[in-house]
Parts: sequence; C-alpha cells; structure tokens
Amino acid sequence: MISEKKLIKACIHYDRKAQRELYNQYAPALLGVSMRYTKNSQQAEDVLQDAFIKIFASLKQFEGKSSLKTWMERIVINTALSAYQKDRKHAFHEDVSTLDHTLTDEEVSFEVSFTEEELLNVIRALPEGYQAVFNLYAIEGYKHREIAELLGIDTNTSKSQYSRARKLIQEKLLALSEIKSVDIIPLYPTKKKLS
Amino acid sequence: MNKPNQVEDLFRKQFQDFEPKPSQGLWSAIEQQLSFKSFFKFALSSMNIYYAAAIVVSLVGVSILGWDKLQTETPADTPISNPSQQEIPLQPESNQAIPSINPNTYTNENTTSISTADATQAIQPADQTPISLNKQESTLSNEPQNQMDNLAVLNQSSATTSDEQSDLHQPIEEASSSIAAASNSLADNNIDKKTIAAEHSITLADIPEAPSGTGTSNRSVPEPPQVNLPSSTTLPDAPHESTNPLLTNAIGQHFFLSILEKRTTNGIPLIPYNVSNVPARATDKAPRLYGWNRRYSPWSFDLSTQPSSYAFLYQSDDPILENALNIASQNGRSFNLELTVNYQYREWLFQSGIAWTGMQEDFNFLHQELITSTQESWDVYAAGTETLTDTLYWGFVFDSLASAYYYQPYTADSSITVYDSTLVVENTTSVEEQLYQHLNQYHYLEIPIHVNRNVLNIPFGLSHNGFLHVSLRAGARFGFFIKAQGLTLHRDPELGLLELENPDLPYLFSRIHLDFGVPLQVPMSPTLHLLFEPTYRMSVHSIFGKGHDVQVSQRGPGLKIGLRYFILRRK
Repeated sequence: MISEKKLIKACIHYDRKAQRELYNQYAPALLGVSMRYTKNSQQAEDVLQDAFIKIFASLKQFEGKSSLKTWMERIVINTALSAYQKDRKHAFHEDVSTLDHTLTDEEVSFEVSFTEEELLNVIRALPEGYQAVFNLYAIEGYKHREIAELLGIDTNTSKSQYSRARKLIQEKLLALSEIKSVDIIPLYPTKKKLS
Repeated sequence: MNKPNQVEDLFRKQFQDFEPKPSQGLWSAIEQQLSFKSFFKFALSSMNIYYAAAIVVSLVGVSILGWDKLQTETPADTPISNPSQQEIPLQPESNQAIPSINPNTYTNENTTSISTADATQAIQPADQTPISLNKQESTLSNEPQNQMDNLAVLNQSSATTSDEQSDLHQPIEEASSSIAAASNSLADNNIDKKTIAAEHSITLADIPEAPSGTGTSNRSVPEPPQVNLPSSTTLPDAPHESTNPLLTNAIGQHFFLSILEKRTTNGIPLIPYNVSNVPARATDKAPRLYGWNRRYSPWSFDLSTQPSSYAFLYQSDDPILENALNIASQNGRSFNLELTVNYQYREWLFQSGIAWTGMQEDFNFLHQELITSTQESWDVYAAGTETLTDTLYWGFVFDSLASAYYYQPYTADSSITVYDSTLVVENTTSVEEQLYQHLNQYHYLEIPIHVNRNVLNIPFGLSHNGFLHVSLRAGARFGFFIKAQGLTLHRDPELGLLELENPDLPYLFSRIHLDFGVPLQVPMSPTLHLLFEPTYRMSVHSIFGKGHDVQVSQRGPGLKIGLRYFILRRK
C-alpha cells in the first residue's frame, strides 16, 4: 500500500490513480461529516464533491501540522458552511422565538441506544443555524468564539443557538426513546377460543 | 442519572466511526470536474497529451492558414473602391503591357526560299547557341515583355535562315537594346516589321530565345514574364503558383501523426500505446460511445471548426447538366463553426445542428507564355501565294456563383503559307496574357444532417484509458446565404482595360453532400473529447439566385477540429 506522503505527492501531480486512492480512503468518513451539516444525502454528496475539488487543488498547502483526515474534515466543514451561508440568503428562516416555548430546561438521560441514522435525523431536523452550531461545538469541539467567526455571527448568538439546539435535541431524543421503549402491540388481537 | 455532557458524548461517540458509503457516480463527477480544471490549468510538470493536442491543433490551424496566406495574396488587398462596372484605361507607360500581337500578321521574306535541308542546318546551330536560359531571363526581366516575346516569334524564321551565325555570340545586352528599341518603335508607331528589322538590324543573334529541336517536340517553357499594372492596383507579382492543399493539409496531418507516434512509441512512459481491434464496450472509463451505458445520456454536443478548405468544382448553369461540365480548381479559404447535437443509438450517431461558414473564393490568373513548338518547311512545286490561318483556343469557362469566368491558357495558331514554290507550315503555340481576379465572399448558415457509423475502436492508453474512436459519416446540408458578395477584376489584354464588376450573388441554396469523414475522438475526460476529423466531401449544390445553378464539387481534404461533450447522467 502506498504511503500517505507518496499519495499526497502523487495527488499534487494530478495523478488520477492517486486521487482515486485518496478518495477511496477518506470519502466515507468525510461523507459522514458532510451529512451532519446538510439536510439530505444529495446535498451531502454535493458538498463532498466540492470539498474534494478543493482538497486536490490545495493539497500543496497541506503542511502536516494536523493529520490529513483532520485537515480534510475542516475543508468539508468549511465547504458545508459556505453552502449553508450561500443558501441562508434565500432560505426561509424559522422564527426562533416560536420554538422557545417548546423547550425543556431539564437535563434528561436516555436508557435506550440510538442508531447513527436516528441521531442524524435528529440533527437534520434542527434549523440550519442550530445544526451548524451544534455540530461545531458538540462534535467538532470548536469554541463559541471560533464558531462566531466561522458563521459570521455574534458569540452570544452562538451560545444561545447552541443552548436551544441542545434542548431541541434532548426533546427529540426523549420522544424517540419513548417510542422505542413502547412494547410492541399486536395490530390485530388474537381471537379467544370459545369455551 | 443526568450527566451534563451526555448529549454531546452521545453524538461524539456515535459519529466517531460513522462512514457511510458514497454513491457510485460521485467519483465520476469529481473526476470530470478535476479533468476540466486540470485541462485549463497549465503546468509544465503536468504536461500531458492534452497540451500536446492543443499544440497540434494550434499548429495545424496556423499551418493551414499560414500556408494559404503565403501562397495566395488575397485580392481583398486590392484597393478597389468602385463597385459599379466601369472601364479603366491603362496608362500609356512604357513598362506596361501592350496588346498582344499576332505573330502571323508579321511575315518575313526570309522564310520564303528555304528547303528542308537548309532549315535543318539553320536550326541546328541555333540549338547550340551558348546563351543560357538564366541569362535570358535576367535580361528579359527588365524589358517590356510582350514586345520582346512577340518579336522573338517574328524573328524565328529569319533567325534560322540567317547566315550571320557569328552574331549568336554577341553580348546579350546588345541584342536586348536593339529589341527594346524595336519594340518601342513598334509600340509607338505601329510600323511594319520589315522596317523595324531594317532599322535595327535584328539578326539571329539578337534573338534571345532561339528555337530548338525539330519536328513536333516542344521547347522548354520560359518563365512567364511580369505584367506591370497601374500602381494604384496591387496584384500578385507572379502567376498564381499552384497551391497544393494536399500538401498544406498533409503538413498538418503529418505533424499531428508524427507527434502522436513519438508520444506513443518513444515518448512518455505515462502513455502506453497498445493498438488492438476490440469491439466497442461501455465501461465507467469509456463513456457512452457507440454502446449502451446507462451512466451517460444518449445526447452529446459538438463544437467544431474547419479552418480552411480547398475545392475543385465541376459545375454548370444547366440544371440538367446537359452541357459539358466545366472544371475549375479553386482556392478557397473558409472558416466554419458548427454546433451539432448528437443522438446515439447503438453503433449509429445521428447529428444535426447549425453551422456558420465564412468563405472566400479567389481566382488569380496572370499568365503570359510564348512557346514555339514546331517549324517545318519543305519545297513544293506550285505557284502563287495562299495563306490559311486557323486558331484554336484551349481553356475552360468557369461560371461561378456570381459571374462567368473564362481562362485561355493555350492558343494554337496554325498557318499555311504558300510563297511561290515553297510551302512553309508553322505551328506556333502561344499563350496570351489573361489577367483575371475573382473574389467571392459568402457567409452562410447551414443545417447539417449527418449519420455516423462506428467502424473501429482502438484502445488508447491515455491517462483516462480512453479509446480512439473511428467512424464514417455521410450527410446533407441545407442552408442559405446571409451575406454574399462578389468582386471581379478583369483586364482585357487586347484593349488594355481593367473591368471591375460587383455582381449580384444568389441567396438560397440547398446541397446534398456525401461527407467522407473519419472523426477521431481522443478522450480528455470521460465527458470531453477532442475531435479530429479528416474530411473529404462530394457535393451537389442547387443554387437559386437569378437562375438555378447546379454545381458538383468536391472539397477537401480538410481537417475538422472540435470538442465533443457527453452528458453524464447522474444517478
């Protein structure tokens, strides 16, 4: 197997086989990142496609300070955020104030486990701004100051959006866990034998 | 129990190894975009077949256009500003051509008493005259050519019968000055040749072009002399030399092929070359080319151009072609831009679209030659004098889309003269001066309809593992002129007039043609292919203008260059 350094070098020289190899190695993981920042799989693939073009174009600038995967994930995230910001100009904004009354303040715990798909649906159900802030803070580990810079918003806005996103997620997970914990009820009751 | 970071931990842990599988078409889409970007991003380190192809395309284009430019001086350069028909008399300057003179009108008494044997003896030394052709040319080039050449004919018989053979060795300059003086006298006074000969004592040695050979053998043809026209008119300096389009295109094609060969045999190891005849197949690598591939739409687009063309025309005014067909070789420069929509069904490719062509046809003839082919004489036993003269013209008439054109490069004069007891038969071949410039410019739109049949796929080891696709095509074209202009400049050698015509040109045509094209496709990416198509076209035109013309022509060979874009059908 070709080493990562050689792979990067070959990619810089437009070696299509190497580019394909890099894609094969990292596309699934990067698609996972992309899917968290988008509303559906098609959007996620579009983001990933653009991200890979950027990756191949800017591989020369990769200095190796972080791992290649981390570097590529950042590009995917930036691409997704750019797409989000581009769409934000035209998209319908859900009024955040209308969501407030539905939020719960209490921390909850979950007895049941969730699949990746279920969690993904929970994240995707968030308003786009919330989705990005939650992803960046909770999963990627960015600080609110960094998130504010990335999204071009105020730090406090980032904090409040995260807080609301978190509560929304808790509610949704609670609802989901309740559904999952319910015993399966037969659709048709079995007929009792006549005595 | 509640934990502050439970939600975050849940998501972080769950998504840590979340690696969904991308759809199959995603890499193709990325590759397509990469190819497009890398194609337009020039870097020496990544020099590849595309750049070579681009260089080849540029060189072929430049060579075709440049060759044409070198070979032909466009009549469009002629500063003619009078669009209406008019006659412009030539200035009576000494360096201008004068009307040609029929040599038969000047007879020489010296020809009347010679036997066959004497003639043979007289001719033989003349052949050995140590006057080189080059020297003749260098001397001749500064003199009025018509007069000299005509006088050369006039004096042939006297030259061959003269006893003053020592004069053959006189300096050529001396002879030339005598002839020049004689010519001036002839031009100015139109006096009899006898008088001229007597005044200037022109002898055999004065004749720079002594006839050679006997019987029916032809002499070598001297270089056609220059004809000076008014300074306000720029015309070609020399007779229009044959522009060989085969060569023109062959240069480009040879260049292309040699480059290709070098790159594929000796060249870059990144491009393995392997030729084998395999059936067409559609894979992820080879896009929808003559085979079903669900990843590609059956539709594709061509954007192509054919920078120049050459044509031979066989045409007639007569729609039913009753007349003998006239033949003309025509220099044409054209620029063609064609947008074609392609639909592919199995091995067949159907094409239609729209094409714009700007075309310029040039005719430049400036010709003057003088050849003496035979001279025979023998004794007859008859009395009296009788002269019979017959003139045969050989040439052709060309009726272009705009106006009639005629060209007579060959004139044969035969005369039989009986003087007392000697019969002299002269066969003189001369070519009179004809100057004709013809310029037609067209811009027309066409709707081409083509059917291509795939014949061969050659695996070609480019970086995209592409194929070289070869197909044959035939089709038809229908269209109309959106702009057509004609310009004709004709110089009448007899009257010394320049005539300028700006004829009306037709505006509607239809054409059925058989295109022998071999479109070669060189993949640059799965969706973008370079097209190289050597073409050869047989056409039957039907042109509606003032009347109805039918024209049969062949055009080519030419090289069509373009791009073919395949539409990727994403899942």
